[in-house]
Amino acid sequence: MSRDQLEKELEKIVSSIEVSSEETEKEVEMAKRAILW
Amino acid sequence: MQNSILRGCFFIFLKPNKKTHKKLDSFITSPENSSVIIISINDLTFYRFKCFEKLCHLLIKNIPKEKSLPIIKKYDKYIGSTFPSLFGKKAYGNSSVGESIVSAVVRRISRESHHYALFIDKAARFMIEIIKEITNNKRIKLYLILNDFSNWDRPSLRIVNRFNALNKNYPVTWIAFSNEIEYKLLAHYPKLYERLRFVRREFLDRFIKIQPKVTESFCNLQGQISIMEKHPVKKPLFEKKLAASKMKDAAEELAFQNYERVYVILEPLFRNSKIDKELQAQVYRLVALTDASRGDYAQAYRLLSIAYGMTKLATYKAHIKYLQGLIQTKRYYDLKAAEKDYETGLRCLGKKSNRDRQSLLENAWLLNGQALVRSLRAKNLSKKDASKELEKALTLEIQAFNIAKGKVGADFAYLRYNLLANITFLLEITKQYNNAIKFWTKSFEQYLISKDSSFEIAYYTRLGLLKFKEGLVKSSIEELNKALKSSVSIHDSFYQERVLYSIAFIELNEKKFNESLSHFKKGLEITRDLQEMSSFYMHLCGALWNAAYLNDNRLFWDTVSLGLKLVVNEHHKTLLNSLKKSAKDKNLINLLKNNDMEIPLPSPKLPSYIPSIDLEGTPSQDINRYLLSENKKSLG
Repeated sequence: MSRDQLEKELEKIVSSIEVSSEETEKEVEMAKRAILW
Repeated sequence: MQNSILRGCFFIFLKPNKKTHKKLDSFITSPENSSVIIISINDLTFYRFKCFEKLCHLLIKNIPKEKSLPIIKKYDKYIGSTFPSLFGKKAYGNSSVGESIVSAVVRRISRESHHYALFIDKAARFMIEIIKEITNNKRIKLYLILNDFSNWDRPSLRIVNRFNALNKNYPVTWIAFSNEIEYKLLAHYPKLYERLRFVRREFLDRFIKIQPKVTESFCNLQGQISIMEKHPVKKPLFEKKLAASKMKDAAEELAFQNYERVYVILEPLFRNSKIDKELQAQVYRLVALTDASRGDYAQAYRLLSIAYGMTKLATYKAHIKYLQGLIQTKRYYDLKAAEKDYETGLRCLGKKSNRDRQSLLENAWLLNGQALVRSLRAKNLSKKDASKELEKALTLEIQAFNIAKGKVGADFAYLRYNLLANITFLLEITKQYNNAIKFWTKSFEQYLISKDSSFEIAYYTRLGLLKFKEGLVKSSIEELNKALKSSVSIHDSFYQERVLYSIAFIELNEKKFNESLSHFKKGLEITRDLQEMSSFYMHLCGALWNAAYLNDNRLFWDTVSLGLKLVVNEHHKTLLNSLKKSAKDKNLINLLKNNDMEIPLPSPKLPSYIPSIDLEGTPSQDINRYLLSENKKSLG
């Protein structure tokens, strides 16, 4: 995978991340556990 | 012997008999200046913090309300909701946090204890303040007699341990009677009896070893014992109803490292042939995860194999193989065996075109496992081959993310965040710091809106350290200062000192000596208060290098003396002593270099457990540090 391809893949990933406002508390809790554990 | 009963002493009476008590009476040399509190625990339920709560109720009764109320008010925000009866509150219901814990805990073979290390620390400080009042500010000696010590729940014992580490002022002597667990309480559960006996002994041995001035086996003393009267068991140990909800309860106890309670909850379901095989396979999985958390990896692996044989569900088989692969990778460092487990897991899932929601979830986790194996394998390859291997690892993570993309549910959300964090880590390993910064920010900054301070600490610390690697020093310190501010706002001293260390390290690297010195000094103060002596030593080394760069002899030798007075690790003491012996070398920088006094790089991640508080073991290698290091040596 070239740098360009990689950057495109990464861009696709981050643009796919969406959170609904009702889910924020739960999602933050999940994100916290994933980045700390 | 009488004089040896001092503050902090911990007496463990193994197999007490009727001869012990008179001798015990004679220890209490001046009854008029002593207060004796006896606490008995008559069951083997191991409810989380039950024993601590009971002890605190007894302690609080011994001081007037006008003294106890201000202490209760002060600690309410830290520990009040866990002890509603102690703090005069209503009991809490379930929260979304519980759900997130369960989703996470069944995917891991290691523990996360930081979230309640803070709690244990505060609970111990609460107890110190109560005891300060009971002892009338050191005028009265307090004897705390713990009957049935072997029945104490593990989380409560962690508070007792923390209390002893922090209490430097008030005269408290602990006297504990430790019987073997009584067989009659568990007559219907002989296997549980054996397991608890083993697990208790293992933990209590570890606990006893680190208590101040422990004296064991007083069983041959003369005298009578009246306080050891036995109480009948008031209620049956287990509820008859067997329900899947027990699994959730057990997973929550596992998240709090309350291992005995996990075994107690699960035992009625464990090895019970009347129970549905699929449910039983899940029970085996949870018991295995508990064993793995305790460090018994062989037993964990074996139970997972049994669960694998029991279940008929392809997705569950794949999940079990993922966990076995994790044990092989992270604990046995056997990459070939891990790869085999992951491949078996993927084969269980069958054709790619037929995968349902659960299959896709397991599929993505297995790819994530394979990515870690490749990242570790890259460490032993030539530069060119390593680069190819890391690229494959990154491709696997991206593939896994694409599978998980857009799927609803806590299980998929937890997976996605893991993958995002792992992709960032791979970008860091491959030194693509700018990409890592961008990816991290775009992945996680949206959650800053929640203003969750503990999330902010993790987010800004990671970002700050990535920016430092990219050479964005000013911005890096700004991010770390945000993390510092958040840690102060929630009184999280454990993370505060880690963040301070990172800031000080960067400032020292940038030759901002006055700033770095002030941060190392603050770190020394906090780690001393926390009694976190391995971190204390890291700040101490930082302060020594700082003094050396400033060529400040007085500061240098004062810091060495402080270290010699406080460090407990023998190797650290030896290093400091060897500095002292070479004092004739006037070049302080050479002195540090010649004596191997290094300042370790800040860890890329904040620690997920605090061993001095949870009293559990640590893996022999920190895989995160290893992956980022230039070290070519194999793991293990």
